[in-house]
Amino acid sequence: MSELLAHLHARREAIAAAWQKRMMATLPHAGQGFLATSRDPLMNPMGATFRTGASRVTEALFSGASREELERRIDDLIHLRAVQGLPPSQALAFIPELKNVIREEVGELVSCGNDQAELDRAIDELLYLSFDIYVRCREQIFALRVRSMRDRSYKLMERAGLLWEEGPERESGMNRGEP
Amino acid sequence: MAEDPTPTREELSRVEYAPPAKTWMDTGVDIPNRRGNWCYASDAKHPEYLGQPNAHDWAPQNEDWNLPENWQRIILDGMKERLEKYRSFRLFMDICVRCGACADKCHFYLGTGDPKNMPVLRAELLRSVYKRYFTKAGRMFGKLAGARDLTIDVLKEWYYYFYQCTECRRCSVFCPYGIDTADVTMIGRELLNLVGINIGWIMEPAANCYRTGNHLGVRPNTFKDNLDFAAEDLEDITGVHVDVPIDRKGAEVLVVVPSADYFANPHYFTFLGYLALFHEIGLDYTFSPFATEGGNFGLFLSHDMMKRLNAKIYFEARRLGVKWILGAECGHMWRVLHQYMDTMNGPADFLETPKSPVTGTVFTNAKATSTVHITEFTADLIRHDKLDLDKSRNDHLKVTFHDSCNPARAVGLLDEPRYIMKKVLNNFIEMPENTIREQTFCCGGGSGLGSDENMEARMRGGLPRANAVKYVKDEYGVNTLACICAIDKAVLPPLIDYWVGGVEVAGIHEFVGNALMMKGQNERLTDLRNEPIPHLQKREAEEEVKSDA
Repeated sequence: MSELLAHLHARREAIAAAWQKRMMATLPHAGQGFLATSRDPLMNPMGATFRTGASRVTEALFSGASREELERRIDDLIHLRAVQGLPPSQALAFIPELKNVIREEVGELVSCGNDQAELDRAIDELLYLSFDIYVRCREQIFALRVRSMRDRSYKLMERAGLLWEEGPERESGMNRGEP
Repeated sequence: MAEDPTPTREELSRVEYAPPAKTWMDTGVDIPNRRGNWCYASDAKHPEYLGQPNAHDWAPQNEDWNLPENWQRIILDGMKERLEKYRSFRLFMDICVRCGACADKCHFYLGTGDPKNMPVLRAELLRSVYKRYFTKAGRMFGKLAGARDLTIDVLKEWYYYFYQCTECRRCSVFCPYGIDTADVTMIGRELLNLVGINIGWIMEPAANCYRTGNHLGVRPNTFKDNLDFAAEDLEDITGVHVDVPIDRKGAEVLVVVPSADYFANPHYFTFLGYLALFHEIGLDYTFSPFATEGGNFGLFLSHDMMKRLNAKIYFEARRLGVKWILGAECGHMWRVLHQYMDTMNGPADFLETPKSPVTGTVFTNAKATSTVHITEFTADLIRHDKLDLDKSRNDHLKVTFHDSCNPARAVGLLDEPRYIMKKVLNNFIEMPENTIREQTFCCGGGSGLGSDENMEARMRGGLPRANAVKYVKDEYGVNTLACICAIDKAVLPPLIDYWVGGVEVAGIHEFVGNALMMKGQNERLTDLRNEPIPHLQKREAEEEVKSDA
C-alpha cells in the first residue's frame, strides 16, 4: 500500500485538520468556539488533545506504524472520549469517520485498487485497538470508584480488620500499585 | 413499487454524528442516559433528620421526582425571599452583560464542551426564571427577553448543572463585574433543597456532622481511639512517644481538623505530621471530642445549614476555655472559618487574638475570628527558626503544589504553603503560572461532588488540573502533588491516576513531619508513610559495609 500511503502522508496535515473538526463537531454546537480556536494546551486541554491526537495518529497511520505505536499515539484521545458522557458507539465513531474524511479530502482513490481496501482495514484495526483502550479506561473508572470508597475511611477499616492482611504489600505502602 | 431501502455507499458515509444545533433554552437534559455525570439523591431520612423542607425519596433517573404539588410556588417564594435577603444575589441576576470573560474559565466547560457549563450560562438557568417572574421585560416579552417558565425540565437542568459546579470561583476572578458564580450555585442548590431535591453525598455527611460532629459519623470514643492509634503509628515510625490531648479544659489552643485527616488515605500522614510538630514545640493544645470535623458540608447546601454545623466550633472553644483556635489543612473549612464564622456565630469575644506561644507573633489578621490556619502558624515557626529541620529527608520527593480553591482564591493563602515547602524540601517545582495561585484549576470534586457515582464527571472536570500536573511530571519528573485541602487529598489521587499516573498526593505537614528532627528520635530511615527514604537507607547500608570492613 506504499503508493497510497505516500500520497496520504503528503496530505496528512489537511486530513488531520479535517478529522479534528469532525471530532469537535461531536460536542454541543454552542460550546465549540473557544475549544476549536484556543491553541494553549494548558488552557484548552481538550482542544489540544483533539488537535495533537489527530496529527500524531494520522502521521503514524500513514507511515505504517506498528500497533504499539498507534496505541501510544491514540491513548490520550481515547482517555478523553471515555469520560465525555457518550455511549461507546458515539465515543469511538470518530475513528471510522476517518475513512470519510480521507475520501472527502483526497477523493475516491479508484486508481489505488486494493490499497483502498487495505487502508480501510488499517482504520478498522485502529478502531479495534481503540476499543481495547476504551474498555480499559472504563474499567479504570470503576476501579477508581472502589479505591476511593476504601481510601475514604481507610484507617477505620484497618482498625476494624476489614482490609487485607499484614504482609509485604502492606509494608510497601497504601497507595501504590493497582487500585 | 417501493424504493430499495438499502442505503447507498454515499448515504452511509453521511451519518451525522454531531448533536443537533438548538438554542440553550430548548435543550433539556437526558438524565437517565447521563449516568456518571450526576450524584445520587439522598435518602429522605437525612434531610428529615436535619429538619429540611419537603424531604422525600426520589431518584434523578426517574421521570417523576415526587415533588410537592405546589413546587413552583415554593421555589418562586424562595427566590423572592432570597432576592430580598441577599443583595448580592439580586445584583448577580441583574448585572451580567454576557461579555463571555468567564465562559472558558470553568474546568467543567473545558472538560465537557457543554455550553451550560460556562458560568454565564449556568447562571442564566436561574436568571431566565428570575426574569420571567421578577422583571417587567421578562413578563412582557418572555423568551425574547431571555425569560422562560419554571417547568420540570428547567428544574431538572438546575439539578444537573448546579451539581456540576464545584463553587471554585475561578470564573469570578475574570468577571469584570465580580459576579460570584459560587454564590449563584449556592442559591440554586438552596432553592432545589426547598422542594426536597438534594444529593446523598452532601445530605448524609451533613446529618452525620450534625449528629456526631463529623461527616462519617465517628463517635467521640472512636475518635479518641483513632488519636491513640495515630500516636502509636507515629512512635513506630519515629521512636518518639507523643501524647495527644483530647477534651482537656484550660488548654491554650483548640485544634480543629477535617475528619478525613484521622481516618482517610493519604490525609492520615499529614495528621501524623501535625502530631509530631505539636509535640516537638510543646504546644499546649487539645482536640475536642465533639468538634471533630472542620469541614462543613452545610456550605454546599444552604447558608442556614452551614451556620448550624459551624456553631459547634465556637461552642467547644468556649466549653474548653481555650484562648484561640488552630485550623488544620482544609479547603472549604477554611473559607467558612475565615469568611462566615464571625458573622454567623460570632463575635468570639470570649477568645483572644491568637499569639504563637513559641515565637510570640500576634496574628492580628485573625483578630475577628481568633482562628489561625496551620500553614500561617508553621510558616511563622520556621521564619523564627524554631524548628530543627533536615530537608534532605524529603529528597526522594519532587513536589509541585496545587493551590486548593478556597484557601487560595477565597482567602489568599498563597505564599505560606510555598514558604514552608521551600524550607522543608529541596525539590519544589511550580506548575505553569496560569494554572496556580488565584488562577488555580479546581480538582473537579469540591463542593460535595467528591462522590464516586459521578467519577466520570470528576475526571472531565479535573482535566485542566491534571493536565498541568502532567506537564511538570513530563518536564521535571515531579512525583508528588501537594495540597492543603482534605477534599483535594481525596479527589486528586483518582484524577491523577486516570490522566497522569505515577504521582502521589500529599499534605504539606506530611513533609514537615518528614523533615522535623525530633528529640529522642530513632534513625528514621522511613518517611511518615513508613516507606524507605532511599538515599538514607543507601547511606546506612554503606556505613554498615564500612564498619564491617
